[in-house]
Amino acid sequence: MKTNLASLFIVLILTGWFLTGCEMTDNPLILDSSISASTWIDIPATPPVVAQIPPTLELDTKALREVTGDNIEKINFYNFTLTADSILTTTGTFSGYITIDDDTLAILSGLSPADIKKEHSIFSEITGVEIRNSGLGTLLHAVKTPPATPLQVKIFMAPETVAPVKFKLILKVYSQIHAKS
Amino acid sequence: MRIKFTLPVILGLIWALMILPTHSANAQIEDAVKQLTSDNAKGYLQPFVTAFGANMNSGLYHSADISDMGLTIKFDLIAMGTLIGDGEKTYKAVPPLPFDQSAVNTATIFGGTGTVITKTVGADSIEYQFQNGQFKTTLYPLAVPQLTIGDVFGTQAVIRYIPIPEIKDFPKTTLFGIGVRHSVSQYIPVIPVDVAGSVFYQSLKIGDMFTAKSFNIGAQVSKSFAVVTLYGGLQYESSSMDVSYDYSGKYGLLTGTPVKLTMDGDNTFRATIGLGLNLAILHFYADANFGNVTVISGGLGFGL
Repeated sequence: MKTNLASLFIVLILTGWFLTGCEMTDNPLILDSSISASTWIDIPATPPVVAQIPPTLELDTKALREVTGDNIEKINFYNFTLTADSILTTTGTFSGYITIDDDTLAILSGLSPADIKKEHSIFSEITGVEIRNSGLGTLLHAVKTPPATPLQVKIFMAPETVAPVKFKLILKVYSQIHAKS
Repeated sequence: MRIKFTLPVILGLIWALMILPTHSANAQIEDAVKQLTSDNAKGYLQPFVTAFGANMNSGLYHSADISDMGLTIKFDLIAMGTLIGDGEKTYKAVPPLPFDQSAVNTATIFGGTGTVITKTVGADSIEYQFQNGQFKTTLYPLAVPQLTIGDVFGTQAVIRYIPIPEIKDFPKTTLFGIGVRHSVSQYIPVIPVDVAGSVFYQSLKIGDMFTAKSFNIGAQVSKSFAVVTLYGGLQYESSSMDVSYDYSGKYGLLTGTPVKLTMDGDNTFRATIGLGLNLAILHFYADANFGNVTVISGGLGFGL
């Protein structure tokens, strides 16, 4: 009898220890999420006029939520990057701008593809990239509340020098998903 | 229905308790870790690695009394927990670009919510939050079964073994530990206490992600008074954990990049003081261990 009581006592202590001593938090799990779009930038040396680079790209912010099947408590946008991939010209520079649903997001001036050879945030303080509030507001809203149709991204560019510019431009949107299982 | 607390029922309950917290926690911990680049994973996981290693190196003895020749067969169920203080709940981490590259204090796996960094861009601001803590706890527990057999020429063997097969999302888990203890007091003609030395090695593999190893060498002393045994010891120890995963975050590394880390536990030395109660074949233990971290350990044993 005494042995059984002592055993029960120990088991209860251990039970309490395991059940209350180390519980999982109810903090949401934070998951990185991103979407991207890319296009070839191929601008001849002349004429040096700003024109849209076809095609119009699409960024579907609904896809940011697909990293988890859990309940999404919150989603926040934290970066938009440019990367020049497969650079086929080395001397040319370019200027132009990027719009999102016809709102200007960033103005680019005098950039060389080499400047963005490594993935580059448009929010880094670098010469040649200026943020515009209208496009940023549209992007922020679209990440938090995805529209039914994807964002329409247009790139307008012109060469800054007499040399042509040819590279693949990758645009990437980063967000954090706060998910609760 | 009345439950009789017979030996099999007690063993089953404790065995279930060993597995349940790990089962529910495992997927969430893995998902959290996979989001981290190697630099941040080290800081985020370091207290977990230290606590895990300190736990593995605990509860290995409850007396220094080893006879020259005789029969000892004892099965112990030992629970141990490393106390988690404020120092184990934060680490310094550097946020990704384009945020300011100064290190900030944020939550470890034992911490609260991750620190939020903001940056003003135009008329708006962007924010980045470090991973939240996953455990809400003041101690991180572990429980193991342990078999002690001997005594041959004043020597005992100690074995720990847990094989858990893969069950749904819970990965295959295997703990194996082996050690020897040897009576030192048998060489000293007149000594009022029992003295022993020991060496132990253990490994614990949880799925493909975590592999922990620990080693310790120590000296123990004990004195028995009727059914009560006072024991203590000094121990040098080391522990390490290999963490392997495919990065599932999106920034800094390509998604899917394999990350392999080897991290050492911070605990290298401990002093132990404990109390045992011996009721025929039933034994109860409780001890406290003081080092870089503090571990408390308790359990019950059956046998001679």
